[in-house]
Amino acid sequence: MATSPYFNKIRGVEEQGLFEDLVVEMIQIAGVDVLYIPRKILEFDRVLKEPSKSTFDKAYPIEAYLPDGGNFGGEQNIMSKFGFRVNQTSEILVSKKRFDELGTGLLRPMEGDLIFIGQAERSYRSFTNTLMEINQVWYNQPDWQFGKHFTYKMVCETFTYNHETVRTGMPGPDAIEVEGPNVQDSISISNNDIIDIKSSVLFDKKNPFANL
Amino acid sequence: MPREYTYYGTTKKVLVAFASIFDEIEIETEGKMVRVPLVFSQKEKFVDSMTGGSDDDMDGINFDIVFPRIGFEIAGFNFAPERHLNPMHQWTEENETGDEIVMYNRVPYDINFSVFVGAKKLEDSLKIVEQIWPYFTPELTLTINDKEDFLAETNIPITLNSSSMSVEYEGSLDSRRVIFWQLEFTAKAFYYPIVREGRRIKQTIMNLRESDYDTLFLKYTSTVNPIDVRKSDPHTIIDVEEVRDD
Repeated sequence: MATSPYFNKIRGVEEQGLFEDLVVEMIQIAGVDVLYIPRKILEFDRVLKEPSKSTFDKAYPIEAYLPDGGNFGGEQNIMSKFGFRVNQTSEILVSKKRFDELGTGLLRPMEGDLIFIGQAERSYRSFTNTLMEINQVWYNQPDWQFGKHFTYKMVCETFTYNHETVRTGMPGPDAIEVEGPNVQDSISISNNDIIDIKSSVLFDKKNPFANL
Repeated sequence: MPREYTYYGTTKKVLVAFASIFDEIEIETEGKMVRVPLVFSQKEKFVDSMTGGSDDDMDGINFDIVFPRIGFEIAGFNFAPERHLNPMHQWTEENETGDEIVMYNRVPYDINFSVFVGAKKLEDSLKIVEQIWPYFTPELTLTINDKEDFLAETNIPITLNSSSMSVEYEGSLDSRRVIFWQLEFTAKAFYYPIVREGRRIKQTIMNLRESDYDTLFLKYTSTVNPIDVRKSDPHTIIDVEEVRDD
């Protein structure tokens, strides 16, 4: 048995081009502008297999479609053993054709890269200013229409900042270098509590074994 | 039975002493020296919401958390019978007004603490725990003023019981790797009972009587001079002997 010669769903190049343009247009109509921020790994630990030093120094504006309409999933605001956390997840779709036009030098969006959703240049009163990290990129979903895939679906989670250098030139995402450590204000308060009562504690951290 | 109110904040003092071991740990990450934040995990939930956290749809940036980070919590309390001393033994001291204060022996309790280390990079977490381990062999002894009015300087040995690591790296790529350390400690602390004040005897009067006729023949008085002197201040004792013939 062979497939029908009258309905070619695999090599219909003209249909593929038409459909891809429709996908791009649909994302431009229903999507939001985001920044794609690739991770540049400067140092890599070859023993533990993890980046030791990363930087984010470029940002590429691109339109993206949010299937959840900005109502992010995840656990939302949670209290953890390390304090307040914001766990939000989202799937973000971008057109493959538009991504290739960005000139990132990448074959596809990579896991570990960042997506900034919100007002990149003036964050005030934006519907959100969320920095997401790409956990996984699906480049074969949704299933191939007309024998081709037209979008990247990026499964993202709110970014866990690890003191990476973020200097993209865009005020929105770059704010994390300032605000990230500042969120530790609450931690400083607890440390101040400790220091206040520490006056009644004789322990000398510089000489911890003095009393042995 | 009505009880006298007493609270000396002993747990809080030990908590602070314990936390002071970890509150200035620094590591080198991403090419810079970073002080690792220390968090009391069992804090009131809304405290962090007021001072940090999500600022969605306003002018802040929304992200998860800053790692690496250390959290600690009180895990439990256990009576320590092996350190229990005679409960009838009394501690005595003089208060600010010169009166004597008395307290029965303190009660030994082991306070268990858990310390958590969270990191995005495995090596960052190793940089933290490898700074902690050498201090505990397996004990680190702190000295705290846990009962100031008795001038008590108490040695509190803190024992590192165990260190466990959890790296959730398996499963779907949709979720991130989570690096989590849990270190268990025991601090050998003491709790203090009620302190009672007793006025110091400043004068004694001894009447000597003849028993058969119940006649007073000698009155012997000893008085501290000056009468409002404190125990440690210079003073004399004036003895007066009064012979009575009635």
